[in-house]
Amino acid sequence: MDWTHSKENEAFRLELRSWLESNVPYEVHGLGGGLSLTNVKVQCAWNAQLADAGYAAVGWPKEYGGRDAGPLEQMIVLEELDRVDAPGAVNVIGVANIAPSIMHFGTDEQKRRFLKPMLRGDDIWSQGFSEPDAGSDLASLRTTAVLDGDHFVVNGQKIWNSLGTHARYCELLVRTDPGVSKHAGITCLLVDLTLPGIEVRPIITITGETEFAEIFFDDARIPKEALLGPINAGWQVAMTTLAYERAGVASLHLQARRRIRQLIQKVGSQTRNGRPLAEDSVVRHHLAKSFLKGEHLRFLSDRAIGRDAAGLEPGPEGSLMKLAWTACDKFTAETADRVLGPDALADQWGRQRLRVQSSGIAGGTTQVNKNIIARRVLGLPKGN
Amino acid sequence: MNTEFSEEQEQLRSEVRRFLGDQASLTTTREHWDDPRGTSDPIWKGLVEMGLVGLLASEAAGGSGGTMADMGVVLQELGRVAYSGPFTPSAVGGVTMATLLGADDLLAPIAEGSLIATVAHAESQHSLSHWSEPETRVQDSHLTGEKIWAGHGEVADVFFVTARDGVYRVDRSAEGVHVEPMDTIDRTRRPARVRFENARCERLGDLSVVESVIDRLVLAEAADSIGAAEICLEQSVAYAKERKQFDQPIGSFQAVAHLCSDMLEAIELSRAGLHFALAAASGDDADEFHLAAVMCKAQLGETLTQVGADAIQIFGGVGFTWEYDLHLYFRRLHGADQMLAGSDEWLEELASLVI
Repeated sequence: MDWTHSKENEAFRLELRSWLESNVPYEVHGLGGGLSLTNVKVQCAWNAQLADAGYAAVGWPKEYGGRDAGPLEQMIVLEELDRVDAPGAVNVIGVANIAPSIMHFGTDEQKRRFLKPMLRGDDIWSQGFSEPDAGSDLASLRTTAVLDGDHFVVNGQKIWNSLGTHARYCELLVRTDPGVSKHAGITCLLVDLTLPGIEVRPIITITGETEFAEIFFDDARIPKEALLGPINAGWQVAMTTLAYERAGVASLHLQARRRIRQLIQKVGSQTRNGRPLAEDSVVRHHLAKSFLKGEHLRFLSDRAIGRDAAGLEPGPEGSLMKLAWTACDKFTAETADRVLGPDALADQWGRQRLRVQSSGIAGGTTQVNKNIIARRVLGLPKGN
Repeated sequence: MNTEFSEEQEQLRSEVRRFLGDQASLTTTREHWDDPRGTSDPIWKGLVEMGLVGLLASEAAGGSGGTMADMGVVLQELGRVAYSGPFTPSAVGGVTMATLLGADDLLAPIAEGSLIATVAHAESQHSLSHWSEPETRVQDSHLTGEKIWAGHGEVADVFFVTARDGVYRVDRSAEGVHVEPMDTIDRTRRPARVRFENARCERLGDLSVVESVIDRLVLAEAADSIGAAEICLEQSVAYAKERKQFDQPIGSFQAVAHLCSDMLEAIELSRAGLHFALAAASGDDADEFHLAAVMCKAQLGETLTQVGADAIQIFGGVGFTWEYDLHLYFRRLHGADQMLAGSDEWLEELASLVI
């Protein structure tokens, strides 16, 4: 067992590190982490710079602007961006989830038109999957598309669209055949959100921010060329996450551990009843537990990526990452509550106190994840 | 970067599992419940002959020259059968002490299993682990002090005793050595209280080796606990598939399924930490290894003991019986948590490293 990287990968790391040191603009510091955009212009310009240097999606094939890099190099890119506290590509979901579907199922025209601008952040992409009545049970989605000549006529509503308010395009799942089983009647469309009949409304979350949107379709006429993959094969198309950006899981622990380090640092600068707060044994106990959770999240992530890089069958690490990340994120917020006192409700700590309430919901709820692990990993039976 | 055991190590695992499956099932642990050695001769001999007792000793000293990762594989397997012989105290504690102190005359017999060694370090009035200074003192080559939690102390032939100014060897046969078993719920280990009254001793070196020895013992407990926790989950899942209530397997109830998922999460997080620490044990960054070992021990108490409790919960009433094996693992996991101090003290050690 050896947790160190090969000489080649370390050389790649140093090359990237020196490129970052001379290229990261001051304004992007602190904008990393999370899917929301706090400064669109700055982040997109930085994204284009990253893409032109070949660092926006190193796992992508060379022909589309990547480096054909393996999971360990992808992980190194995430670690180095975190090291300088700079964000990566704007289209996090686009690069990792939408692009693979386009690469695999797209027409030459779709690949030419969409991939490079997505990679550079020239076009922002959103996923149109969830609906008000189709959350954890996504396949029961009801937004319809009916072919009418050269167009699909789309009606319905999508919700929880990340980057929705900034997005030009949407990878949209629609029901094209209501007469077959729920997974079989779904089709995937690549939709230009500026078309008539489409309205994007921001969702104001409990933090007061607008990182998500709702998208309404009212007889929107979408040109037939928007079809991605075969009609009624949308489920398979959308679930195509080819092996291009496989180390994304590492960004979870990088963010979580950054926050834990910040908390430890903040405690280090405070006093309580005339004594340094960092000497209080209860405070130390909570901080040590947070640190322990953050580091174990990293070890779990490293193993998921390490197994992948070694060509081994995926273990349960990948499925468990989301659960472990949620637990760690919530625990860190609780720790901040306990050790910072009223300061825990102000500034970034206050925002985070609210934000973590979504970590057990977004991207698959804790309860559904546990069901999936119990059935798929442990082989427990389904209920009646 | 290699986060997994090698093919050779997996091979070693199969061999150890086969041997233990034939020889050292839980029945053996039960049969040796009141035996201070906690093992039959054939099993101990087998472990010696397979080169496992001397796994960490150099080939020059008659050992196998293995790594801590190799040892991790063996200990996971011993944890799966809750093996109650003096393996960890002697093969990890004794061998590491003798190696680091250059005590070649002790290393060879420990490695070949003819001499049982144990580390006598913890003292009752002190924190149990390595960051406290021992009260035990030495005068004119005679040692006086009282140690607790000496693993398998009753059957040890030789003690590596920490004192104020260094590490000393005291033989069991020396005058003034009084050993008394500690009565704990963990009967799969054999911790002992050892009183040294002006017992003849031999100085082996200074205290600088202690941290390194304790860190390896900690890893041993963590690996062993992963094995024990794995079995708890495997048995719970098997039982939840088979046991029916309300006309369906209890594993189909989400409350039970989610508990199993929690157990898996606890085990896999801890396993990942163990792999990192086993890698760090062979690396060249001593600080990283110490940090990794400290985290392993804290994590064990924070998560794996709960796995033992969850298994009993899933089995319900029968899980609380003597007949079912779960209590053996529950005891073992809690014993591992308390050996070399409980997790709160390790969390404080972690705090001192990172705050």
